[in-house]
Amino acid sequence: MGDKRDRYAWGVGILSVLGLSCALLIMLGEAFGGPDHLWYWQLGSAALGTIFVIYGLILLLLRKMGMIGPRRAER
Amino acid sequence: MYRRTLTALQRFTLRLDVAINRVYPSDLNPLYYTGGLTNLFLFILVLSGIFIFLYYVPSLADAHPSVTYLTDRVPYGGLIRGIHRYAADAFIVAALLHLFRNWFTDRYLFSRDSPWISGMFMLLLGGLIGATGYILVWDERALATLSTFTELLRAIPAIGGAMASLLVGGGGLSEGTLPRVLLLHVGPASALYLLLWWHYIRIRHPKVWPPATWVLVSLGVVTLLAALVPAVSGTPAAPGATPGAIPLDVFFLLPFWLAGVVPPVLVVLLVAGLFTAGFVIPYVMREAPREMGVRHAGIAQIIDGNCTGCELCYYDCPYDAIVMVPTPHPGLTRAAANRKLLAAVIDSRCVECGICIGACPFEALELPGLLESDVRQRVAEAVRA
Repeated sequence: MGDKRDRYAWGVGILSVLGLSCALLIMLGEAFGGPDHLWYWQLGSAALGTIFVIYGLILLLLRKMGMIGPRRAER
Repeated sequence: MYRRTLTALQRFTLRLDVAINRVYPSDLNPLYYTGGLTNLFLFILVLSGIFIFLYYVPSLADAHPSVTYLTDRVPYGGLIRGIHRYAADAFIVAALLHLFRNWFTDRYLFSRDSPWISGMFMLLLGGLIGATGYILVWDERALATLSTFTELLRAIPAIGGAMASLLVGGGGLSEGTLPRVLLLHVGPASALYLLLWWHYIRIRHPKVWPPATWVLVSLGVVTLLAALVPAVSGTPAAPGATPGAIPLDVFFLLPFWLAGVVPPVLVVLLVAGLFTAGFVIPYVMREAPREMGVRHAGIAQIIDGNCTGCELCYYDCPYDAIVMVPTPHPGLTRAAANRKLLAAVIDSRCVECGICIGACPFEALELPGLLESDVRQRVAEAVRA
């Protein structure tokens, strides 16, 4: 159980770093994007989508670690 | 044969549930939230649709340029358009999964008939909204879709011609066409929320919304798709020109695609047949095998002489199927002699659950198909065995 928990904790850590880099990409897209630089908007949009997925997966891992969600007796 | 196939599909569905529960905590199994996910995608569609509506110009000359302007010039307009496009696909996928899951697990019978029927109406409207959405873009594909749509409508006997004229605003394309299509896109979308109210009203604890994990992942996947594979328009529609071969979206516009393969009248018959079957199935397929756990105990009946008007059943019924009415005469037992009220069952709301039987301390209620004496006898027999 401890090993599994460690793996999940690592997963949360890695996803958080990825999420942070996505946030930087969103800022990049916002700073350089425009009607004539659609590519940057596209990059920012993709980063926004990825950040949603990452946050969803972080919630899933936290739930699997038992840190959020119903109490043990209610599961 | 039908029942055997359905039992096999039910077993497959339940095994799939078990397999997914091994990966996810059971309260996060996405298959338990197909309805909630459909609702989520509808919400995304409404929000993104409002944004698109602000820029859309429903006229033959300006519709295509307005969509292009939204996609290329408005900040993140292309993203919102893409989200609208992919959320529509996801809405249909989630709705079909929801339909098949409830069909395979027999959750369309008895008290579940009204969610099923309202769901069929919503699917029908979903198809209409999807088809009109394609037309609004007003490119070559939109023109082909509109032309197939009117062909299909004309194939409906008696009223088809009038319906086609109503759609395009007369005998042919005119400035009234796109506003009508827009109305047929936005109006049914609003009607979906009325139907949702009907859909939920008979379900005790509906899972209206998926867990936060799936909200974020679904939103993320739709956004990611919209960013990586942007929704684009084709060449502007040229009503006078002879259109070449334009591939239609087989997934979303299957009946339209079929109309190019078989005569339109057959497609109309097929769609009408499928939806008619969907509407009548809860009433003709009521006999389910005992092992599926479906029983028909009958609508709860009040035993007038025993009812004391205490209101316990009224408070306990989760379906609001019991009302208290002024009593026309006293009860027969001593406890019921001075009653002021009498319980009455609203048949259309009763789900035959038996909660009122347990709530009543005066034996003033019964389920005609499952009498208390029968239950006691069955329990005694089970204990002896």
